[in-house]
Amino acid sequence: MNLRLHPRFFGPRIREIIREKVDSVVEGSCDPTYGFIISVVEIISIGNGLLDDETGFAKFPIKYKALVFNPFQFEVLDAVVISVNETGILTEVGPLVIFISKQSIPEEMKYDGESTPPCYKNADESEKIMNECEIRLQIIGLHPSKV
Amino acid sequence: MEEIPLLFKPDSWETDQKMKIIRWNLQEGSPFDYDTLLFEYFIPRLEENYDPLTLKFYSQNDGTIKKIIAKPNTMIGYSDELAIIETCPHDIVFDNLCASCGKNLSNNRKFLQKRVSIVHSSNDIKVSKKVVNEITTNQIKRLSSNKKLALILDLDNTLIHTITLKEDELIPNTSFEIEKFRLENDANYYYVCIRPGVRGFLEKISKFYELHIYTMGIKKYAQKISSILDPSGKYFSNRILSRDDYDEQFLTQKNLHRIFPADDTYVLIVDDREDVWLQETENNGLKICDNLIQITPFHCFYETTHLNEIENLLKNLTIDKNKFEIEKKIKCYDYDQKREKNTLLLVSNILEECHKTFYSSKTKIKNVKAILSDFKRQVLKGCNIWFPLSLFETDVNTFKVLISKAFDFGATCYYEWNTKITHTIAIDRRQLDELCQALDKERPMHLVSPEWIHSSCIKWEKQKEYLFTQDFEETEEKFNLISDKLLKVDEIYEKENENEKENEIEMEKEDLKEKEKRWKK
Repeated sequence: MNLRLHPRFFGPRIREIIREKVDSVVEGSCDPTYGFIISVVEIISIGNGLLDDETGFAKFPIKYKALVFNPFQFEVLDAVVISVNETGILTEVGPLVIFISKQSIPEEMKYDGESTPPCYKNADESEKIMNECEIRLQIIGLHPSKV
Repeated sequence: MEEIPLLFKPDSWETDQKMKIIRWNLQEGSPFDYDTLLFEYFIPRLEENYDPLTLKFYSQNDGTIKKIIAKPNTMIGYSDELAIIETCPHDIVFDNLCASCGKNLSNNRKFLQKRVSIVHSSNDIKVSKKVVNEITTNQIKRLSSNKKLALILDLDNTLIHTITLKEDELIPNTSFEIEKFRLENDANYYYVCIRPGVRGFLEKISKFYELHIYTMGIKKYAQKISSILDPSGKYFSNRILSRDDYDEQFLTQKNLHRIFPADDTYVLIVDDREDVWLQETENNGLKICDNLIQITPFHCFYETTHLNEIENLLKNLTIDKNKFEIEKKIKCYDYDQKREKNTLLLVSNILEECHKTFYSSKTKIKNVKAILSDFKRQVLKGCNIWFPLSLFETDVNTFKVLISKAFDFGATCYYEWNTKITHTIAIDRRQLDELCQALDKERPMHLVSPEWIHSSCIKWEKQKEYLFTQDFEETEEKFNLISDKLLKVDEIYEKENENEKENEIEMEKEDLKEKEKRWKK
């Protein structure tokens, strides 16, 4: 990645500051190709900085290793239900929010809006899907969104 | 995925007209996107030497062509089968992704515009008309089997009154039920006062209505309030709609179709503000939503009623704002709580009555809007109100809404003077005098300010007219009131300061006395 650094940081501690900056900028962000960047493991190299003529910012090419969560199409995941409504179930896996429409929920699971909290259940009520349940799902489509 | 026949149904096509396909742009088995060219065709004419115009046929959805039925150079008429296509209807869309086939539809603006949100808790889930109808019929079935109706409740100034403060203050000592809390990532302290009698109101009304919350507040706030009002979740469950769940364009308006897109004949609304529930009428006018029952706003904390007005005033009056805020923080209105309970009782009675009429065997047309309108019409029945045209010079829309409101509540409205007039609306006494002189007519029976209509409608009872004749020069009076209050605040501060000074002086005196005693010793 390229890190842009404000001129006020130029000084003897610059390498330290770059390390801190990389952590704070990158961690928790979502990259279209790499997925969610959860934690920076190590910084491999900090390249030579290049000054931007117009702004005075310096641009540093940086190579780093990070722990990422990169979900892909048709991946099977375990997710936690965060809300249930008449159109389907909203779940989350860490930072990823996944929606399961009622078309993808087995036919025998019917929506029950009257119970508190609302849930999907089968005819003899032996199985119930409601808030904070854990379910296994397969991703049919995804796209990176604003984080 | 489903296989459906592709029919030839272009707009503006005469039913007996025929056409011939020149060539297909795609082969069997090839996928196509929304708005791709499928084939070119022309309309054959009998005349000789006629150069036919080539027309193009674009797809209305996306999918794959399974089988081409209409071969080139055969005659094809309106709504004939052209091909068999395999397509996904994208009935449920989540964050621009189709929830059943996983296709990214974000490039397909036209298509997405047809999808509407229906779920309270998420604006990202959008559904097609088909699903909306399904959900609505299920909902109506569920409600009618329980003999219930739906009711949308507002939070602020309806069920509760909240102020946010930057500093931590002690909860004032009043008989109101006040709770203090903070939200995540928010430095402010929230002080919530629950309207007296709300718990009883919810308990009673939840037997007849399925309760929904629709608030302009943020999600966390709405959830917090609902957990205070309804700790077990039996009233509201997940039916909470907050600022985070609707589109930017609706931030100043509440939209009934956001929760009930298909059918609003079994829904009522209780809100303290009517101006957020305006609807456009057929002839481009504005009208207050028929489902609305307006409730007297509830204010607990001192002088936040006209907060905006005060803030505007403060800019002009150059009074230290901080001083005022401190005063605002601590004070609570201290009035008889029976008044609030009666207000809620009134609303709950109306709601109960509507419910009773809706489910009584006599009512054939099941429309709660019509039932409510019948009740409304009793309020100002027999009033003939004259709206002099000079009213409209200042603010056309406000008075248009006012007229439609008076009409909804059973009054007859006139633009011209006639002998039947019982009430005249005026904002200014001078204006009315001029009018009367110009017309050379006797003064009408009652001169009232627009407040009279509002007040009568909100209390569901024709108010005594003389209370509203003094209200002319309203704005001026309000200004005076507020500036009086500001002066009072200043006085209080001065007094406090004086007290402090006096205390200090007394302390000093005592010190002196002690010193004197010592000296004497």
